[in-house]
Amino acid sequence: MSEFAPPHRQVVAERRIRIAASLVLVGMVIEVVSLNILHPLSFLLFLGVGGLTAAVGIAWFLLALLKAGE
Amino acid sequence: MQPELIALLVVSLALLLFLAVRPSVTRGPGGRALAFLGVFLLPGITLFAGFEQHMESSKTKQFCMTCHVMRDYGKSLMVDDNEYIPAVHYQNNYVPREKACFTCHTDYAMYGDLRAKLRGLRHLYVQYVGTVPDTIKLYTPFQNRECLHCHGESRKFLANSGHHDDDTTMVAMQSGRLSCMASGCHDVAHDVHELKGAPMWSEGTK
Repeated sequence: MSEFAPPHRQVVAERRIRIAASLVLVGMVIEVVSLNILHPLSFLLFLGVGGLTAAVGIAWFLLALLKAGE
Repeated sequence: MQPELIALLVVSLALLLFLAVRPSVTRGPGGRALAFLGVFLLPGITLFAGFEQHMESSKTKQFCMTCHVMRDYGKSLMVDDNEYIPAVHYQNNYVPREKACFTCHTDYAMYGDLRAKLRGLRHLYVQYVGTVPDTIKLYTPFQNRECLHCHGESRKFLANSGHHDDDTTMVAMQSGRLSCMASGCHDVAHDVHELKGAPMWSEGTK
């Protein structure tokens, strides 16, 4: 994605990055919450919800990089 | 929570928020590097550090005591009896008090911590989906390996002639053929049903 790329391509790429950053942000917030609760279920919250959301966000970001290179 | 992890979380969250609000910064090479750092590298490190923090927290006595069924076992550490194995270990700091449960109930073998934690997930399933049994039993008889991990080379252990009364005793103990507890030498730990009305010790007193 360079500054000479068509505007539509830029818009799409930036939307992908926004979605990826938002997903990872939600994952990180869940991680913060889970780390402040000392309970077995907080580990499941961390791994099953926070970790999964952040992982999807990271995958989305990597996909955005690949698509930007096409 | 460790200060390094807090700092990592704060930086990650700030960067992610910035990228979510202003994705247009990624138009330049500097912005793309920032996105790589903020959406891939830092969250990856933070998730790993968070996992480690959860693992450490799950080794604490306080964590074990969050389940109702474990409360009596926690109380058994406070029995005022200098012959009672769990109490002697806890009250004399033979095990770190903060990690008293985990120190004895992990496997001192390769991937032992991981196995102990996987058993913990099974406990969670039983606690919330299955039926908790009236009497909690170990999956397998308590391994001598866990006792000998600390006691094996200790002066007190070596000075006790019972452990070395002939050439075969120590070998039998190490191989697990002669159990520390099941063979009648040492009492069974945590017989919580027998503890009703037992005198209790309180921390900080003699």
